[in-house]
Amino acid sequence: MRSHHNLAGKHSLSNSAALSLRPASQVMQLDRLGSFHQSRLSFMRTLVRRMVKEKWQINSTVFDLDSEGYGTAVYEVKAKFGTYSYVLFSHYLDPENRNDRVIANQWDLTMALCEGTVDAEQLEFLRTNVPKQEAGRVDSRVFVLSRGNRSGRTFEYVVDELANGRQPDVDVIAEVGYLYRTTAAYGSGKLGMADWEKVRTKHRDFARPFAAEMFTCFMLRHFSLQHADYIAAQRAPETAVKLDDDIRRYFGIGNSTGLGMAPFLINHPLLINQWIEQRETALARAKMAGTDGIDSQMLERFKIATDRVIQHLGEIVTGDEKQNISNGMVRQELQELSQWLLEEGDNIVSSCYNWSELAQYAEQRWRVETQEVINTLLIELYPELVDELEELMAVDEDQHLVPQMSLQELKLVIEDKYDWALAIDFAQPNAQGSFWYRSEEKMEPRLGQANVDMGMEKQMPLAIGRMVRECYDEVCAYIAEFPQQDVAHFILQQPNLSGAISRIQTMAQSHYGDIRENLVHSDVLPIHLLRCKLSFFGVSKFDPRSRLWVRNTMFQGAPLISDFDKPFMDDWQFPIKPVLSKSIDPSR
Amino acid sequence: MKVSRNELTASLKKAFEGLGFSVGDYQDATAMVIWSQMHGFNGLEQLNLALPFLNNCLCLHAQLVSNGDQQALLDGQSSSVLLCGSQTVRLACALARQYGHGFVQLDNCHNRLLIIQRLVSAAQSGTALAAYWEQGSSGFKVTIEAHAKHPEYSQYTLPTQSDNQSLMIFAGEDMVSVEQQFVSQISLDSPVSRVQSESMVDSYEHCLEQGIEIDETLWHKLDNLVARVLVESTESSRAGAGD
Repeated sequence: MRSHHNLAGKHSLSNSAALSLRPASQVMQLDRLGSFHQSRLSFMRTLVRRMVKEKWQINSTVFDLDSEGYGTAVYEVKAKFGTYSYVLFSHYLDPENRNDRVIANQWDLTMALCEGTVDAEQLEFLRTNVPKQEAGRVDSRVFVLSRGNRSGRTFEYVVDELANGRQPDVDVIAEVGYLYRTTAAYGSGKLGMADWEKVRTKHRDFARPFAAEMFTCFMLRHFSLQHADYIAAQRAPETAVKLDDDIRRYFGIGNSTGLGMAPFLINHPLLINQWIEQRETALARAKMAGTDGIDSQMLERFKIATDRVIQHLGEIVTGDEKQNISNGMVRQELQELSQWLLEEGDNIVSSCYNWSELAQYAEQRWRVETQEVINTLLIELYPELVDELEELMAVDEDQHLVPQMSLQELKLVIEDKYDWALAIDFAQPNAQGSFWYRSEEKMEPRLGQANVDMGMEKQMPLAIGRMVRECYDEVCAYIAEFPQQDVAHFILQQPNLSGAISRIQTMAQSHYGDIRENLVHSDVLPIHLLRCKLSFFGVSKFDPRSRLWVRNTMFQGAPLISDFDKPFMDDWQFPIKPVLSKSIDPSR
Repeated sequence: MKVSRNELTASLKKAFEGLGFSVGDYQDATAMVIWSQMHGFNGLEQLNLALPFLNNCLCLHAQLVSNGDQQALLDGQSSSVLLCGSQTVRLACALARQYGHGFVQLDNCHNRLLIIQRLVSAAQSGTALAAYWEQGSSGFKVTIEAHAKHPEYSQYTLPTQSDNQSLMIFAGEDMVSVEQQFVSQISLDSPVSRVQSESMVDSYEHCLEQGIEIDETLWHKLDNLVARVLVESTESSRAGAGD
């Protein structure tokens, strides 16, 4: 990496430039958002930190399963501020009916996270309703409703191995990464559950966005490991062994995410802006910390982390050729980086080379995904500067229209903040080639082809760029006739534009604003939207199944509940195969 | 049955969308109904009464009849405050910002009790507001100070029956200015009843903790309206979800 060698020792970026947040024009591009990886601020990471720090006590009070592993389990969760119950039902499911789509109506496992302790009466109520999921009703004592399906590739294999007294082969686990995968985790008041505001204001243990949903998935992981041990012991009490702890940690929970997640990002622009702003603040702080140079210890940590990502990406198994190629190219660029760190480490330290210079180099030479891996690793280096931002991930999402704003000012706001939308030529044949709609099947969001699929007249209002363009054209026309008029008078003439104006005026006040993409273009890639949100959840090992849905792994590498009272390094990101101790012989 | 606020919000937005409301309208209308219900003003009952008319209203908004300094007159075209209320309050706020105080009268409109949430929302931007309307033998006055979280609601007995379908909105920098405008136009005796902010907060907290009670018939009506925005599922449409 000769040219990179040449960069060492130069101060191509000023300190003041290194202090600033990256611009929205760079960050809010869809392909970049779709290249984000989990960070210290991701919700799984912050949840695990909280559970370990506060030493949450989690114990099963009911573990009433038959010899096949079907039945009921209840866990009591004693957190810092309250007690909760995680209730799970395990059902027989004909493999023919195992379906990860939202339209499924049967699952291997169904579960609920509830406030307080659950008595016999409530347990019966839950037993009646939780297995029905969307077809049932629960009440405001329930925070989250979720379900999971067995992995056809690992569950039986792992149980068989354990029953026969062997540990499962790590290489086999690496191909999948989980025993169960969850296909939905509903919270925020759906199906009669507690409102997010109730959870946020009355249950501080889960007062961060998606904390309760992430905890439900964490508990599914815990149960899945217990479940495999239990069934193996039932099948072969004389020979069965329990999963080794290193292997247990390497199991996560699988997740399938489809288009249902995509409208969320468009319908919650202030929340997404907040998440991204905190992540970008973390990155800016990390770069700032290295402004005066990088010490050898920090550089060594960075190199170890880089090598870990290289291994992590190499261990991902996906049938998606595009993702395989991308993973390969990112690995190649990271290997280039690793080699440079190895060869030039002393020079880097002595020449006061800084992180901003590295980021700038990456932006000039490497793929967007490689850039974002590096950014994630930089954030990882400075927990003392970053972790406090985890308390700032929630935000008031009200949008406010400013009626006294002059139309001339509104026009300038659009031209300044939505230049990206005005640059889209919606007259181009493919510019409006797609549309988003809700299917009558469980209101599942779907992407239709214009003039091919039915339902275009019922499309969801997700084309923010087009909405802005239409608003702008009307504003310009009105100004030509009434140049001194304000927004209040304009919406008397154009009342159907009040939503657009409210959004424009609100988002113009935010740092990052809306996602800069024409979401109704024929070639739109919704998978970027999914991946962006999933990165904030904290998932890893993206395995796209099409441009519309993606499998991934949650909590792989995370501590076990039994680890909560042990020293905690918080370094489980980018999980890699465990190196087993000699006492474990998988081939025994 | 009981539903959560988030659940009711999602249902109402789609139901209003099914009625033909635009994005801004269905967001505002949803907020109006839910605020009224959670704070003890029977928003769902109001909605239930309004639905037959909303089904046939063609989503008519307020039209500007006359417009002078500090005041304006709008015609609600027999539509609902759910469609005309936001326009009216916003115009009053804009006039107040420009002239120090503003007065807007919206004639010929319905469901006026639902206007309260729009006043609360507008007050957060620093405008003090009052609303007044008459129905039968009663007059109703709602006031809210700039930046206040909760309004004051008062009911008065009128000397004669009123069939006036107007809604009057007063806006100003503070409540003193608003009250000056108000008394210059409307003379009222002492209120016969008041709703204090404490009871609104209690009602809200109860709904948040226990969920919102909704009549099952109304819930099914909303489901039927929601169905209007859903698209029939076919084998080909399943491909649009990733199959």
